[in-house]
Amino acid sequence: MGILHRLLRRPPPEVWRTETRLLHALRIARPPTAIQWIATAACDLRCPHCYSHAGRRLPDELSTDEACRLVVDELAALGGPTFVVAGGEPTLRADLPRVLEHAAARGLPWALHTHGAHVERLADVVRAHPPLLVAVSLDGPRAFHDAFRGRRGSFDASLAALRDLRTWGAPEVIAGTTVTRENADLVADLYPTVRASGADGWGLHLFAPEGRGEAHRALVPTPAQLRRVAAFAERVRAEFPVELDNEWGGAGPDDWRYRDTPFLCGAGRLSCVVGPTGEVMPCTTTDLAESAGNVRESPLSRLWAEGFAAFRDGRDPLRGDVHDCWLQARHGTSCRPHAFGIGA
Amino acid sequence: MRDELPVVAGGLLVAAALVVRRRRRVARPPRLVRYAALAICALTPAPSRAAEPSAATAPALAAATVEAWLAQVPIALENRRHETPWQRFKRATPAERAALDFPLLAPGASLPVRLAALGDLERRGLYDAWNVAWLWREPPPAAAADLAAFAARLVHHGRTAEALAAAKASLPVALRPWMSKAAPPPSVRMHGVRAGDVLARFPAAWAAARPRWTQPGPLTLTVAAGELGLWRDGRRATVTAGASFALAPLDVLEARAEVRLRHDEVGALVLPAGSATTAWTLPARLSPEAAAQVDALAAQVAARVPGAVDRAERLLPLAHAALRGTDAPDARLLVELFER
Repeated sequence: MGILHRLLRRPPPEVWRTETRLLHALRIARPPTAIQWIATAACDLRCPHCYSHAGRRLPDELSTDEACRLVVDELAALGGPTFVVAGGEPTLRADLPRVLEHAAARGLPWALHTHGAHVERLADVVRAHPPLLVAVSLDGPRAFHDAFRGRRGSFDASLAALRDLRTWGAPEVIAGTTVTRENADLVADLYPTVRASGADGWGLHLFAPEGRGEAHRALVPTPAQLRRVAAFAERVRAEFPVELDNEWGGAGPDDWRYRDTPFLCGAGRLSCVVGPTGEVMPCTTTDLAESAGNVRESPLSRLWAEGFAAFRDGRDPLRGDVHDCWLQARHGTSCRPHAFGIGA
Repeated sequence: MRDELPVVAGGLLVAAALVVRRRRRVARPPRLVRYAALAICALTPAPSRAAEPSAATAPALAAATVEAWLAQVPIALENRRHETPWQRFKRATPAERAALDFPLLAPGASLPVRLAALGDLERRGLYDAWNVAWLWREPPPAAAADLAAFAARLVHHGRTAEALAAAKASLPVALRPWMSKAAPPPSVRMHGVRAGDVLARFPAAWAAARPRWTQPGPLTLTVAAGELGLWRDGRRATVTAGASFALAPLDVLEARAEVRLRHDEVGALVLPAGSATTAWTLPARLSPEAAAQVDALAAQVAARVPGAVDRAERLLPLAHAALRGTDAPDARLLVELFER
């Protein structure tokens, strides 16, 4: 076997992880590919599976000026990664269009996670500066979705958002379902709805006991449910773009059955999260012990360059693992043995 | 050794780096670092893999066939909006399918019709695991040998489809953070794949391909009386009284004389003399007592009794007919898993 063949057949995450360790040793950080901004903790729903404690707006959330200066401008200085806006419910921030206008003016591609009920507030900015991707939450069939989210009409709002965003020119609009113990066995019923919604794809997230979810650990799917949902997703992929998202971890040699490109945990290595009050986290964890600092105290570009050593130096078996969702592994809820039949 | 090499190389680079600069900076990875990472990975042993059988039996595929396959079958990020006619066909309702230029199957279509449809699909390069489930759905009554020959064709088709998909997936692709946390950057949204590259990797992928549709499931049956002919992948094996086997979705059970089977949980099944049975027709072979047990289990699934879905999943080839009669989302998921 020639050396080139070996180089090419090597799963890219192995090469990538080694490269990350070498870069860290050389005191170099890659420019981030994406940075997610939790625009606000405010949300008008109280979903039990929420990865944050979304509800009331926090008193010390970043102001408009701070969001533009400390986040958007810093992203531009970092080479223009994708500006991913999430929440809470980000559309509840009245100044979000202004921040997005500023991001567009700085040449940043952007993406949005929303529950969909207020997207009309972004209609103009979507038309003027189409986002790369919008993900709209859809937890199950109408009755389940409305009951789980605690508001009648939220299912219809999600479907309307999927439709409207496409009409306004968003190039890729996907439905996002967080799989829990309560809706795992409903995915076959939800699939026709997703397909008929006009969504370009369907992302199946996996519940993680973070944020409010920590108080609802009973929502962690059973091993049999994980296996069934993964099997269903694999089969439906033959006819519709369904993908298992980050929280599922990598499926090893079978990864291609569930995803278009190999799984790679980019937490602190390719992406990070700026919280509503400016804390810079490796991903959507709410554990402030993982923070690299606050953008109010140090520039984001410096925090990115200096922070997340445990994710980059390869010494920490939990944080250095690029094959599994470190957050799930930390909570002991890694699903890989059950969903994919491989060791965690 | 595998863990030490990066450390040693990293240590040398660290020493060099400390001389040059102290402050961390954000920068595009120097190409030299990428080469070093590639070299380290190439020099360390690859993770052990299961022994791979010979690739000598891989079917010869024309480049034009792979071109056609790439143009129609794979669903990937870059073509979400661009729905190919084949994808539209698969997603369509049976009524909508009539308007599309692909083989159609009437309910209960005969084996020759199904074989012709399969041949037509393969001539168009439409190798797709989806076809296996679609063409095997409710197979018509036929002699065991004929059913088995058709199933073997489907196994071959499924393995080819799997190998093509695996070969494509083994090609280097641009890395990106997963969409749950971040959208892909524009630069990696259009990664092309060349037919020649897929074809070059096809034999190795074929050797390793294990289509899930051909693998035995968790349902284990024991021959209680008689002698059973078990057709799998075109070959007939004899299962004598007292022996057990795990049923695969494309298996054909041949009973030249009456055969009695036993399932440890639900009880007896009777295969009449001269019969050919598949997973689709297995529920009809349940004894009245066993059928009552399966019906009760389906009712428990509908009532969402804890654990009932998991039990029903293990018994799916026996329970799919009863589950269809329930109005429960859990049951519908199981039926989808059986049919797809």
